[in-house]
Amino acid sequence: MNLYLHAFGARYDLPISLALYLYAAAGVVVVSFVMVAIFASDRTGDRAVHYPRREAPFLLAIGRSPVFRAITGAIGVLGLLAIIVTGLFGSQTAVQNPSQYLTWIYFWAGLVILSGLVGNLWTLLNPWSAIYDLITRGGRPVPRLRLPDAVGVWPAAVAYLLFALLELASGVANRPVVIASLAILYSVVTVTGMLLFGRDRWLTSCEGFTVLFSIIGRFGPVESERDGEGRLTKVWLRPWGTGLLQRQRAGWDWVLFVILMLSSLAFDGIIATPAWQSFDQTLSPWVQGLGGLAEPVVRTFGMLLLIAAFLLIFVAFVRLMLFFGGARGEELVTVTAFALTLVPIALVYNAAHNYSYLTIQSQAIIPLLADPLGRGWHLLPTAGYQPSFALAGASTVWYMQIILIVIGHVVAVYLAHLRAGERFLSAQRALLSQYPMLVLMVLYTMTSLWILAQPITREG
Amino acid sequence: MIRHGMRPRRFTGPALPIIVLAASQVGHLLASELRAGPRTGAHGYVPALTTVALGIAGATVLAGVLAVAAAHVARTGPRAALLPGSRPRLLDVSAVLFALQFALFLAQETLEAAACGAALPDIAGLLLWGCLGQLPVALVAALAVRWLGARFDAAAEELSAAAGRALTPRPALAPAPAAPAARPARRPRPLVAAISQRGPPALLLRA
Repeated sequence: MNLYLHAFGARYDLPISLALYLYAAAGVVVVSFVMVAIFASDRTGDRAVHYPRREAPFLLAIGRSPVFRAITGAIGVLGLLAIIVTGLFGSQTAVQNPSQYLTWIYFWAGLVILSGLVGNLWTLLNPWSAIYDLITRGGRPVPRLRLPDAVGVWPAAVAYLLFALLELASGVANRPVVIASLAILYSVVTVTGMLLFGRDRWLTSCEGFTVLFSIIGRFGPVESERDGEGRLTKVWLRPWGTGLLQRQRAGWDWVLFVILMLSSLAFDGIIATPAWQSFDQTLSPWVQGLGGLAEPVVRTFGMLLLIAAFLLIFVAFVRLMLFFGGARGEELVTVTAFALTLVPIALVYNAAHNYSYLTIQSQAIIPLLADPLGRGWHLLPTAGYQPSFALAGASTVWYMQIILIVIGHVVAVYLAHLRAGERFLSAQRALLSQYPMLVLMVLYTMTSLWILAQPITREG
Repeated sequence: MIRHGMRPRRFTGPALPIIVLAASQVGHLLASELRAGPRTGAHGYVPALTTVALGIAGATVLAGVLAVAAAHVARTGPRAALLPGSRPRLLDVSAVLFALQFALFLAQETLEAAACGAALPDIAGLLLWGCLGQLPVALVAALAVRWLGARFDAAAEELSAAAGRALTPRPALAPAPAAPAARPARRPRPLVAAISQRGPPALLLRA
């Protein structure tokens, strides 16, 4: 994507060595571990994962309101239509086409972060469920086919992987016409799938974004309960992050989905580093016979390599945790539960990585509103708008990234500790089991910060 | 049939350090070869170390295979087949091997940089080259460990059982065998009936 996101005019000269920042961040994670061990290590069993929540009738009323549902559904459908229409008929220069901003910044970066902050907004904005409701007039017709339970969320994981490959490896993510065409294709597949297999069954198993936002939304402060027909029955408010302690169906599909979230974000950061250029150049001669496909193939290979590495390292550390903790209950349940404690890291890494996208590049859509199709129109008086850099000086970005990354890892350490209290045999074993997790968190904090530092900082 | 895996991981435990060392060196060599060639600079020692580590790992594997063969020979009687025991999950073995190999690779790269007085290698580079070199080797090593480990465990069970049989002292005088129980007396068949069963086949008589 040829947006000027990761390319600042000037790089930030660090007042101290980058290594000191990394050690300091790692130190904060270690200190937080000690604090958690002192203040939260006595909770075991179900008491460890119990969290306070307060009923929110005003949110229930809003959520149940058909008008509100219609408005949010219409916003989702309008967003999808805008991507398709501007992508097909607008300028084919990425920075001059609104579809690029809507897809990669407002949806992919913005909505994910916002859902983490306030709760799963995708259930309200999902354009395909709104289209389905329109087709079925709000009813729930009996599905013609049945999706086996064994499918789990594997199809959704595949859909997410394909979307990540489109963004990071395909090399065509900056072509509006491609994005629009794929949006049409995905819409047809999703709506057809919902009609054949049932709305909720398709969305919760096969629709990558629904599964993604359901995971991200668990971090948010809003919790809801629905009846058998999908109607809201209760809404609560809870502390951020605690939703990740809720029970979750165990399965490698869920574990892989969380690992995909983490590793695809890390890969997004890595391809902006000089190390990737060197890696790419070294492997290029092996695939140069593929012509234009060489670059996508190397990137796909790099991303799959990273996904496999993240999965194996996570499994190795979980094995260590199980060894020290002596898990009670089924092992896969424990593995899945610990995978979900990594979600805060994915969320803050997403926010840190896309901070500059959201604060600078997102503004570039404002002048395009005057002429969304690039036909010389003047629909709004916004054509001369210049993006403000007030929130995104290189030093501001750097310190925001440090704060976000450290917060995410501290929350992950805390959640993992509570989860260990629930899953392992005693408070002592739970604490013992968390030392490997601490090592993993420290390593991940330092790696994340180092990757994020590359495009914007220069050692002073 | 012996249910193997009762005392599992006899092979994997002791052989793990050797296998990790050899696999990490092969992965290191692979990554170095792809990057700049192993015979240059700080990586000059890698081929020699890889050869030695692979030699030791090869000897370990050979010893394991010989133990399996010995167990097959020692196993006598109608139940000749020696079935492999329970295997750990491929994902678990791969994960452990990869994590250890990768840690060794990181340590080596850091030491190499320190020895040459060069700047520490960057994290992204280590991650990418480490994955590229170590991942495929870890997968192959995990397959081998699972295959041989299960068979070795079964062989070890069999050999220890055979050794137990051989070393069990036999009594100097074997106890007298118990007298066979008296058979129930057969009722004598009637004489006519016995005679009627003799003679040429009925077919010939008919002719």
